[in-house]
Amino acid sequence: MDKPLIDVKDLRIRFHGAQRSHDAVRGVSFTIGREKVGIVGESGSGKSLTGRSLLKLTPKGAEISATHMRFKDIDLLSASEREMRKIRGNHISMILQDPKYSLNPLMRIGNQIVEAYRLHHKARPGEAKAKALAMLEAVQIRDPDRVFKLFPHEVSGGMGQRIMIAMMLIPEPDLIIADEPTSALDVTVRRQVLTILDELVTRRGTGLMFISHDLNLVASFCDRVLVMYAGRIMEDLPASELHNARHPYTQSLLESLPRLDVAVENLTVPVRDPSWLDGPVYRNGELA
Amino acid sequence: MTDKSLSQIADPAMPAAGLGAWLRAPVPTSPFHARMQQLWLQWRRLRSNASALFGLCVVVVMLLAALLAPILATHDIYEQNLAARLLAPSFQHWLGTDELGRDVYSRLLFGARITLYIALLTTVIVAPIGLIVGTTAGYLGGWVDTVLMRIVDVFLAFPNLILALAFVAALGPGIQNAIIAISLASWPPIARLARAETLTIRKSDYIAAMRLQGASSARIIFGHIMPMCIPSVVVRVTLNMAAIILTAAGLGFLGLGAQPPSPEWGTMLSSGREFVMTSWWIAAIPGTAILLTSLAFNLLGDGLRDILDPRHG
Amino acid sequence: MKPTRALIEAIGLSISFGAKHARTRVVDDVSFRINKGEAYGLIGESGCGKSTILRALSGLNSDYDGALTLTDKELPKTRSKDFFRRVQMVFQDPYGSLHPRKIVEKVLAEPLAIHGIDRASERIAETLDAVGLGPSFRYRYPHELSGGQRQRVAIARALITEPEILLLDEPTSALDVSVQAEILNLLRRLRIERNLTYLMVSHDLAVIAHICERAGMMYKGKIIEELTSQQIRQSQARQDYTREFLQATIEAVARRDEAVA
Repeated sequence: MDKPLIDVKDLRIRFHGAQRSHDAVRGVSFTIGREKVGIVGESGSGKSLTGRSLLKLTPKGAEISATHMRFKDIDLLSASEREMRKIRGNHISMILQDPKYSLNPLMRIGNQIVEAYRLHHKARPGEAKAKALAMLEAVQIRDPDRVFKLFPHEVSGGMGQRIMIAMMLIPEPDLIIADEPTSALDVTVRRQVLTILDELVTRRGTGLMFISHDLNLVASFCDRVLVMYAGRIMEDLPASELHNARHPYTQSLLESLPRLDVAVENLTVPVRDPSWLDGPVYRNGELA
Repeated sequence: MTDKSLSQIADPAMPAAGLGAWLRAPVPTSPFHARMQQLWLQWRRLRSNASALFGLCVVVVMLLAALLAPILATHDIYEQNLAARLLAPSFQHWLGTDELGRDVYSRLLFGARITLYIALLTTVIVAPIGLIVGTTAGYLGGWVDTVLMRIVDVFLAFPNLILALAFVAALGPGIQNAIIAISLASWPPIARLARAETLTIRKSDYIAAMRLQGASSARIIFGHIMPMCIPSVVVRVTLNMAAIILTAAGLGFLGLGAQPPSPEWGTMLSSGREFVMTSWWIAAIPGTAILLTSLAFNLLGDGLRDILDPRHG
Repeated sequence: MKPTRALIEAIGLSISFGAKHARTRVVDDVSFRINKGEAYGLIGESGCGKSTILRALSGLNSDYDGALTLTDKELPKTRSKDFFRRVQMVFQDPYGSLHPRKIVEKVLAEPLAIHGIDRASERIAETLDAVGLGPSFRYRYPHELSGGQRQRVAIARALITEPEILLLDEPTSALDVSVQAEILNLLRRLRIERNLTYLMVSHDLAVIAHICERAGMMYKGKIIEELTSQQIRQSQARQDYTREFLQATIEAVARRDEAVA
């Protein structure tokens, strides 16, 4: 892995409320190369905000600050809205949880994909259509010609998510941010969607930031895992080393899952230690 | 807001530490305490909404003016003085005099009484009827829904003012009859709204949970669905106040509401119409009062929607 | 199977939705029996009809064919008040199952008032205590509580009339894993303490295996096979679909070394 795609140092996101300000992300540093990085955390841990801040898509009232936040050589912190629009989709794209809400309900699926392509590449309509059909085939849609003409409400959740993947991959971005891309899907469909995503990402050498609350899923799917808690990265380690996690939070998260292989009488409930808020964090099994 | 702070002072559970601390306490100690903390939070939200606050201030001023009219008025509102007719605003007559030499300022104050009386009484009649019809139709569905909603449709088929006119024509002119007529014309939209709200609420899990507790339909409608509908109905009613005031003024203007010499704003406006070219204030002043009051109610209604709507809260 | 008497039994249960000409069968000829004190699970993907069964049994949907019995007596389509005292339900979404404008105390007092049960105040305090919420939660509004706390209130509401049977509709799928662990522990403890019978619906095999002794695997409106929790853990499935489902779940649980294809 040479130069990382994303290099973030000391990212902070603060919300200014009427009475008091609230820090949602507190000093997060990480790099993402052409690999699959999973960000795991419970709701409110700041994982989605971290992902969205890379595209500057944080909600109104959020104040982003960092020592640096770079995409390749572009400084995202100082990038203007115009520059960001160029980056979004073209270089970094995002897959959201529910395809129902991210596809335009009034536009045929094919036209949406074509538009996604032509927004970033100069191409004749015919050429773009061919490209879109090829992309639909790449996400293993059996009858791309038929699906091309469908409206979003006419496809199932699994297919919708595959279409989203096609749409996000067609401009050939360098990095994909996937925010809970499979949590609205059924178990058997989930595996299929993940396999497709995995294949495409690996083949094209795209970087992937995979945001999820599902520790198991991230462990089996990603190369590296960042565990977030209360706006900080508690642990940064290879997914294969997850069972050797050092931080008590990561350990307790793993233990709190009901297990299929052995029966346990009582699940361990993570005892949230206030000292974690500012305590030590671990990187690759070492104190960072 | 005044009766709220009064009841807080009267509450025995309030510690000596003060109202602020009591309202901000992390753990409420009684249902009343919890309710008051919510009200306080909503008040804080309202306070940060400038236009709603403006609306509230105007409404409060109007209420005070109506309440204190006998004290604030400078002249007898019925006393005619033909020597002083059509006088422009001056120190003697702050807002001038009308065609019969009566003081416009004093008449305006007493007119506020009539206008607010009509608006508030209509609301008190209309809101419960609309709420009961709407929630019952929405929750029970089936033929109850069909019958009630067709009745609503019949009322909605006529423009508000036309319907009110027809009723007043049948009942005879006068304030009471105007109130009845306006009420008859303005409950259907509220029933519609309450029904629409109910249709979404009845599908929710907390209503399902109540059904699984064995609760009767009446219990669910009155105890669980109505409290959820009240905020939007309050908002709607506040917004409606403007329409009610305008309809009342319209009836007055057409001579079918309050009868002269009563200082109802619409009636004042109507009689000032002839003198618009020479003495603008006779028509402009009650007109401005109508405008300002309906605007204030509209702004307040908008603000209330922001703080009361369950989807925001 | 032992010839114990079933507490709940479904015989040839079929449920259809939609207008006459376009009716679709969501549940198709399903039969199962649950003994007293047992925890039975229904597993399946969304749309397989598992929640529909729960709603029919609870009395929320009376439009079904076939029979549902409680202690060997067939349940009438409109349930009696007594039924609602014996059978209670916990919903999936703790954000939607509590009335947004009622404080916890009111939520818990309501069932007591409906059934005319005495000692309301003490019962509320006891039940709050039993679900692990202290007295400080008594006068809170739902929006002041976290998802896990809300689900505890929902469980308290179901338990306050002291039912025998609890219907659980994916009670933890909207919660974080650590909160899920808390709620699952609570459900296990309550079942032993109060001798409850559970019927639980979930798409998560690990959760079902943790709570239930037996489970029915559902596919397209049918129970295609019944498994014990042991069989689930050891992946002993007879049907292809069950095997596929088990595999999809187990792959996620397994560590990296197995998952690389």
